[in-house]
Amino acid sequence: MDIDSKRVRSDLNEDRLSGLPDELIHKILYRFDTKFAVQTCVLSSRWKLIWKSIPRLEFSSQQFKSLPKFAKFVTHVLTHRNQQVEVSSVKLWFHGAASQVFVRKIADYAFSHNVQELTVISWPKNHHVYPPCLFSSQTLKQLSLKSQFFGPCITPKTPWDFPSLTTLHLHDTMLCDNDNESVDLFSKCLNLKILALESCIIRAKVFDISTPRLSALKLNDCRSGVINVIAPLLENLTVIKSSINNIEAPLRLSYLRYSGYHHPQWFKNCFHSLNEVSVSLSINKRNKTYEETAARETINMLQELRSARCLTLNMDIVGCISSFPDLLSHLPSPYSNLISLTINSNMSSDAYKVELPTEARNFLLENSPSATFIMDLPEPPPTKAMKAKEARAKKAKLLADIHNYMKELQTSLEQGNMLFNERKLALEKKKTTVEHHMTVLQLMQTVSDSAQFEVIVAGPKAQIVACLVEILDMVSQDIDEAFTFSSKRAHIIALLEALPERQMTEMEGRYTHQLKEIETLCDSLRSARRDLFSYVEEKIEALKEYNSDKITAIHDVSVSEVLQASQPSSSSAATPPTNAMEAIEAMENMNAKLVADIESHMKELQASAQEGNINLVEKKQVRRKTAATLEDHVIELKVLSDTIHSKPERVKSDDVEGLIAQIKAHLGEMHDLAKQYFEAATAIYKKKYRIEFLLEMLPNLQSEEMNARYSHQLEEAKSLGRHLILEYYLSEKVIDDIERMGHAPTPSHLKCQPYAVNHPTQHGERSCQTPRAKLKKWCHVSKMEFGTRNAMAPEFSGIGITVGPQTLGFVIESYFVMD
Amino acid sequence: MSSSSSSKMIELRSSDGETFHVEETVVLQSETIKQMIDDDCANAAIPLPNVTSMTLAKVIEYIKKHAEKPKDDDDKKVAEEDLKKFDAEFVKVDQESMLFDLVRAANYLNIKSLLDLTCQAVADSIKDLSVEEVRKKFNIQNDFTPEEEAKVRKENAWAFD
Repeated sequence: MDIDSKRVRSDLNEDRLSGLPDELIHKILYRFDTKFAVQTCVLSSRWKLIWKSIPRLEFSSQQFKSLPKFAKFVTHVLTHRNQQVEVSSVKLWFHGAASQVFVRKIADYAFSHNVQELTVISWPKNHHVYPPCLFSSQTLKQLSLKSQFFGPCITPKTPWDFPSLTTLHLHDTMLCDNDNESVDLFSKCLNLKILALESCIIRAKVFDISTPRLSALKLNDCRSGVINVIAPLLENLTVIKSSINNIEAPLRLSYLRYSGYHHPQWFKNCFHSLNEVSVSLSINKRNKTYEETAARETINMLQELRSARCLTLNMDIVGCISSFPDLLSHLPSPYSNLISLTINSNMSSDAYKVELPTEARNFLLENSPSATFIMDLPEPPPTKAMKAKEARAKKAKLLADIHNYMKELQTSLEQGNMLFNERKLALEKKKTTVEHHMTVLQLMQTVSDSAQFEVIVAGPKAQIVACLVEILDMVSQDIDEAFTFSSKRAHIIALLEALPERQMTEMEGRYTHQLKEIETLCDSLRSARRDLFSYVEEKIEALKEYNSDKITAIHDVSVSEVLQASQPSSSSAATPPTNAMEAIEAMENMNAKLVADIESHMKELQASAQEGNINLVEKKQVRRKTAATLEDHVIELKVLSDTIHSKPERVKSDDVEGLIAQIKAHLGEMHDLAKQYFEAATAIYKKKYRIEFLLEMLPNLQSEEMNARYSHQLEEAKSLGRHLILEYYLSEKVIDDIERMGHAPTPSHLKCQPYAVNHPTQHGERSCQTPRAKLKKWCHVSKMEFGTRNAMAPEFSGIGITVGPQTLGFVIESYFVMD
Repeated sequence: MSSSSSSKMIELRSSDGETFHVEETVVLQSETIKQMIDDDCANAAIPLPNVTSMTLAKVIEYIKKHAEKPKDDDDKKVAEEDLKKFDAEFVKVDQESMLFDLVRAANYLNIKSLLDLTCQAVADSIKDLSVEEVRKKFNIQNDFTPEEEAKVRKENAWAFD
């Protein structure tokens, strides 16, 4: 029994981690970078040497302040490591030149310790050359090279010497930089089975991929002149946006995926046992019709795929051959083994138009009667009558929506106005109270009885602080209201925008008054806020000044009196001793209460700081992602708008609409984010003020002590507040930027003006739904919705009371640091 | 030999004497037990002196779940998702000591996927901690004298930059 309970007790405190055998600790540390692994040496004597035998190394230059420091770390690790233990996996992330000594050192070490898996990720400055020693190892099985940003790293041009290598991944790497040379890099990689080249630049006269055991090859977005593939055991081939010149006898090829702009000329007499094939072509059209040469080439290509069992083709291919049924009518179907044929529409909106004529159907399916045929077509668009009916219904619903929404808005507007006015009155009252107490304070300054001074003054000061905090509360209510109303307004405008133009103008006319009213309310909410922030700021300054004045005043009267206040005998002549004692007692009580208050507020502050921190971390990711998506979309939109300008027939109305809808949705998200940041920041600032006010109220000595105790937290809260505000700024900046970019297409609209006239049948003027019109509309909406945002920026000089004039500098500085 | 006996039950005995009956196909995920069965040592109950009944029950829960085979490809995706969820829940143990028991058991029974899963779970609980925080979290007794610790830190100062 005794032993058992002892065991249980010791169980609770037992160090189970150190208790594991080395091998298992290695397994756990295997998942960490080497820097952390080495640092575990200080845990206890058990851990002193453990890192030395972990069979994996992961170096990252980013963890060090400078490259020399990083190089020093690498050297130490390699010399202190247990040389007897092999290294199965090495990962290296580094900045700067690929020729740096540490790259060579790590490669040498890894290869001399029988490394099997090597990953090198570099952020090179520009077109650096990898050291040749990185390309020769007897043991290496997996190699992955990747460059980030700017210029890719260049690999050596002589064949790589990796007799054991089975898997090779190259990303953003430059495989040759001389257009006059022919290179054959993989012929010595006799065991290479999987090769993937993604976004690689191959500047060579001829690039041979020639390796005897290759079974899977992927070329994705590889720009190059001539690529020849000699891979007799190839089973799986993926070619995306890349071109192959020639491929030699892949007898076993069973999986083939091709996607690109050109007909692959290398599909020649070489596929004998295809199983799964997926081909997607973007075939050029002239005047919206396919050309006969393209059809012939497509048919040739399809004939080369005769052994396919599961075939997937995209709409362009089917559309192209279907346009020339005569070409097909006398041809036998090449497919006798088909199990399934899938036509993939890629969700292209006019795919519904494609009808598979009998000739095309027979060409594809005649010889495989049992094959399943799947044509993944979008719904055809409704007929004119249906459209009109739908439009009517939609309009009616919109009108009803607008009407209802307006009604609701009217009520909330009235309420909002009323509340605003109530708050305004309350604010005025508070201001008066503050002024009143300020005057009292001023008066007290003249009758400075030192012993009681703090006590007497404490009352009015507390009142002032309470008022100021209440004012801040009201201000934040105003902020909320402003946000709510401006988003309501944006919603209505969006609804109005959805109406046909004529009706829109009419409805807009009807509701101008309300819309104007919301705008006015928003404006007054905002301007009130700005004023109040400066008001509060001013009062705090005054209080602070008052305190320091007062302190000097007391000092002038008699320092000793204050210090000796606890001794009744030394009370001042003007007040009877009992009163003084009472006063002191009261003061102490109050101080105790103050301290308790400060402490509880501090707790609150910490809680919201924590929340703010979490928010910051989480939201930052969201913001960055949203910002990136937004930027992509806007660029896409820009491209679309340029295309409208040059080739109007290429742009689909739906594409523009979809894109705009997405941008709007993301802008909405961004808007919400900004609001959340703003709220988090105000919450923290408010709590911080409150604490600072309370601290001010304490007697000097105690105040200093408390200040010292909490200065760290307060500083933290302050910097967190700044960060949140910075995030707010950044979010706002994105919205502003997008808005500006959204305006960019404007000139092309003007030039495009005749577009709708030129192609009246295509999109129809009635509904005003040409892509151009949508773009224009979007710009309009975005301006309405987000244009007001600019006007809000100055408020931050208000909220930044304690941030002071550095705010802007800080924002700018951090902006650079963070991005 | 074992292919025909898909429903054959194997008896496992934990260190504290409890016995568990598990289908052979399920238990074969343990390389250690597979070896014993292949060596024909599995006619009586297999003793597992390094694994307590509590831990063994958890291990069996794990291998049973991982032995479920999806019927077709559609099921496969669902099953994979489901398994991921199961794994995530599985390592959320009430007591940290259970996680370490599982690490040891997975190692002893040689169940690679379980060993990977549990080591990853331990690693995840260490992730983002400083060395000092690791020491505190896992109750690692610092047996260095201040001088010794200073020395170790000095010797490895290059790793603390």
